Amino acid sequence: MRFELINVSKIHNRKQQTYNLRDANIRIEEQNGVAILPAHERSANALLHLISGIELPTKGKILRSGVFTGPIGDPSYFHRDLSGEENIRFICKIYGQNANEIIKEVNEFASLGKDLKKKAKSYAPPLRRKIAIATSLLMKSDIYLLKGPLNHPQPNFNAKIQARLAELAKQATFIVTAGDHNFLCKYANSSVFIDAQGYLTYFSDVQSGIDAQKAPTKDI
Amino acid sequence: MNAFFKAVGVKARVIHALFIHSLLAEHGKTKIGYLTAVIKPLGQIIMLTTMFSILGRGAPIGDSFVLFLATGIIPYNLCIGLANKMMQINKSHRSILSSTPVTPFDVSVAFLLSETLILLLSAAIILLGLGNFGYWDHKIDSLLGILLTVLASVALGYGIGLFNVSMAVITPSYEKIWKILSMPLFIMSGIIFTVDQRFPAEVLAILKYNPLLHITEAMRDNFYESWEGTLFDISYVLWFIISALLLGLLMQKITQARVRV
Repeated sequence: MRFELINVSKIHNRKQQTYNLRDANIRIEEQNGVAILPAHERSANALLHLISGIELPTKGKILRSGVFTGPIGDPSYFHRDLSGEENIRFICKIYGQNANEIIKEVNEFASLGKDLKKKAKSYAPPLRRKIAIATSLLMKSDIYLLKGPLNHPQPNFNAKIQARLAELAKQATFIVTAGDHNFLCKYANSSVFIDAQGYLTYFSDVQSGIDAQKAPTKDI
Repeated sequence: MNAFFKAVGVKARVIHALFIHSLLAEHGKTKIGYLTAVIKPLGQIIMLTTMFSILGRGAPIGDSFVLFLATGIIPYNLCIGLANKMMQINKSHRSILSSTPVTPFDVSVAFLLSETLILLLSAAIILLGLGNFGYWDHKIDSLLGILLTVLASVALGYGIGLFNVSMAVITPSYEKIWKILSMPLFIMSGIIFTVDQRFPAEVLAILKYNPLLHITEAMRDNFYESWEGTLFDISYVLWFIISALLLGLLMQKITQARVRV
């Protein structure tokens, strides 16, 4: 696995010249989870999108090799006229996964039964989120993008998610963004602070990143 | 070089996924979705034929008006039908474009493949049906010519479609403008009559700039053994197609950052 940002800028608003990221240089090492601590929430989102390849940078270069799936538990790719199974098959194919295996595993993991054969428009939001979380947790990726603690209203399933996350943390790399600092410390060993202008600072532990985020910023 | 082939492999995989997705999503909404998609051109032909047979018009070329109409409508649908439908792809794939690494180019190629497949299937059904009911004697002038004409109309439709979909991103009102602009194309492309019999030379000199007219003429030229088209100019059509494709791809490159947000 290799992932590197070289002088990457991502513009937010062209007229006001505001940046989500500005001249960012970062190299993500294997087994070294990174917590993102942004001054603006949009900067964290932009960085996650750049890592998973959803958006391209305005300037700069991204070097990568490996599989990088989208943020965990994002169900927005679901098409309402396709069945859950077809939706999973689609996203597996996009990220180069073995679809048949994953459908079987999702069925087991989320204990869905016949629900996967129904069209996605008949799903209630918790069920849709359940399927999306199960799919992205079971897909093999080099970097998992974790947005918040992935709470689910069903206590049984929630326990399963946390168990799976703990299992993944042993072998995969996590990029975490969340408001809960304890959660950040659990999955990340280093941190990145993005200030309001988009400049990025790297810290080799999480706590100093949190301190940097709390420190009062100068108004310009 | 190895990385290049790997990248092509990934592109092909993504386009394959989108191709199946668009086949399932485009017409899977209702139970008869695929049937209506295949039958729609047939409906157009039947309607126009009844209209003209009531008016008492004979076929300008050959014996049957139905076959004459079919040879015009098939390339028209492949080109303008594709270009019209491609206008919607960024809208209908918005959630995919903004939550997966799929690019607008992948979506457009997948849509091109799935739509062409359905249109060619419907064309085959129309022609086989016409042959079965005795309107067509299963004779064609040149199969290669027909295939090349089909390819040309698909390429032209794809080029115009790419341009349209990118223009619609820049100014949403372009969609309405295109609707008005493309309305007279059905008459101007010589689908319901042969143009050189109908119009005087002065009008014909203007109509010649319509590439679709050349394509319809080429299609009929290759289809009927007894008829030779006079208007078809291969170099003009080829240049038009190449410039439309290049312009469309350029416009897509310019607008793709806006689409994926």
